[in-house]
Amino acid sequence: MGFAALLALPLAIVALTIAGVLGALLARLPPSDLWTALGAAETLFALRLSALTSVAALGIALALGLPAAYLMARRRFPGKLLLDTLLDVPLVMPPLVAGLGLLFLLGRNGPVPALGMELLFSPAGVVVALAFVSTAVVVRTATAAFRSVDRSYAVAAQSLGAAPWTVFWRVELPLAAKGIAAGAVLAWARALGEFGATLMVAGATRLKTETLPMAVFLNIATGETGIAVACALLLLVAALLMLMAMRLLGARRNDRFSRGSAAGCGPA
Amino acid sequence: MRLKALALAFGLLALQTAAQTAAVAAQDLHAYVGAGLRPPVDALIEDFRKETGITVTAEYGGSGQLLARFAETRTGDLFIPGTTFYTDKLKELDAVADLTVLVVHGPVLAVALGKAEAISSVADLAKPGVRVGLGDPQAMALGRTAEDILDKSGQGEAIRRNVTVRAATVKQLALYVLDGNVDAAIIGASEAAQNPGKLSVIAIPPAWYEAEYAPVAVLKTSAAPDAAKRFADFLASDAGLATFQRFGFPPAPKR
Repeated sequence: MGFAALLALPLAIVALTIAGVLGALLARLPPSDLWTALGAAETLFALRLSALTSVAALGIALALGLPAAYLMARRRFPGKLLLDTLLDVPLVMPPLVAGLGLLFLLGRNGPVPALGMELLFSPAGVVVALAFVSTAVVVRTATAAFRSVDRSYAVAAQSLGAAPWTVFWRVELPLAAKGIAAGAVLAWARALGEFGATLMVAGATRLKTETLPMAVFLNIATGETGIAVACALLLLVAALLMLMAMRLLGARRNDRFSRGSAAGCGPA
Repeated sequence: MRLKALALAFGLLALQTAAQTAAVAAQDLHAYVGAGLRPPVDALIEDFRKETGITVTAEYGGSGQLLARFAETRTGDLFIPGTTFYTDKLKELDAVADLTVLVVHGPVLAVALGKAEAISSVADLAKPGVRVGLGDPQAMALGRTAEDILDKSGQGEAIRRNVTVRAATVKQLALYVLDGNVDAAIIGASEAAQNPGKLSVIAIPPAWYEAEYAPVAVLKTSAAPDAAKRFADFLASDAGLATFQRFGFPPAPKR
């Protein structure tokens, strides 16, 4: 028994399990049933809502996350270490717990009941839940991307008279762009698959706050697995497309807290 | 040498633990339990363990979710849903070895504190601006009951327009109305009983719904049918039913 052969068994187990999971989902329905389920109003609604809410959440995540990440990467200030830890909390928090916290924060007994009543149980509430998770991903990955950019470029630009705003916009951001893009894809993937926080903040209302993961959850209960499987496959296709995008952006896969990918680490 | 001895000791310890686990596992039951029944069932599981030494692991969730889980896995010893509707489905799957009806699982209209002025009957749910919470009709037992109530009230359409949110379990729904995030919700009488003073409770005319009964089914898939039957009998005993009553579930009429 050679060394490599010994190691091949665990690898085979892992690979076969993943292939088995994909195969089982694909083989669950006859093609005609799958086609019907994919065209069902509920599936199409969930697809539309998932697309809209995840893109909106990604927009919020980038608008808030990029400036925050730049500050974390380039400035020193008291309490930064503590803040750095705090920013990572949504990444390690179980989504259901995040949802419960958001529900209490936005609820009638929270500090902003008027705003909360507008957001809770609505598609806007879905966006809040998704943005909470994706913003943390953007902050984490973009901080790493900015840190990996050589500071001397910024210093040179400054010495040539560029204003801080110009340095950020014309020098630092383009240099970190690849890592930021990979992080954005990761954040979008997290937003698309988010379920636990959505359930608490937006509820499980069919054809109202029914994202793709919610549709999977609700339709398992009916015994009608058609729509559940169709939505699961749509999520899977989206995930595979994102994986490919990550590869193209040269990010290292497998690393949730990816150190960014500027400066060409990882396979291109 | 010492290392070898240590390794051997650890190995023996691991074996012993494995053997013990196996011995316990033979007396370890898995029960699917509707989330709304959690408080009494948790208490009864503890009493049963003290009395017999048999551990019951409960998996709580919406009854519909649990049914789907069982249909996929075909494992487990007991099924205790919020209504016999789900054990009927189990019978269709030919999965029930023994069935005992336990308690009445009746709905009430729960109104958030501070909204009692505006909402004093089911009809008031149709008023404009009222935020109503209901259960998903397929995911949880009382979701279906609530749909019947809405239909019978003659104001189904108007009330459905006010439905702000649907929940996957009755506990989630109770949380929403307790915090005032919805003004009113149709929840179990038991949830209301477990939160005295935190909700206003309005009775629903019994003619508007089929009373739901929560049963316990011993599953044909059970690896320990005798132990499972023992637990079912324990739930149905006078002491068991008294515990249910304490949490707001009255016993089902003897048939």
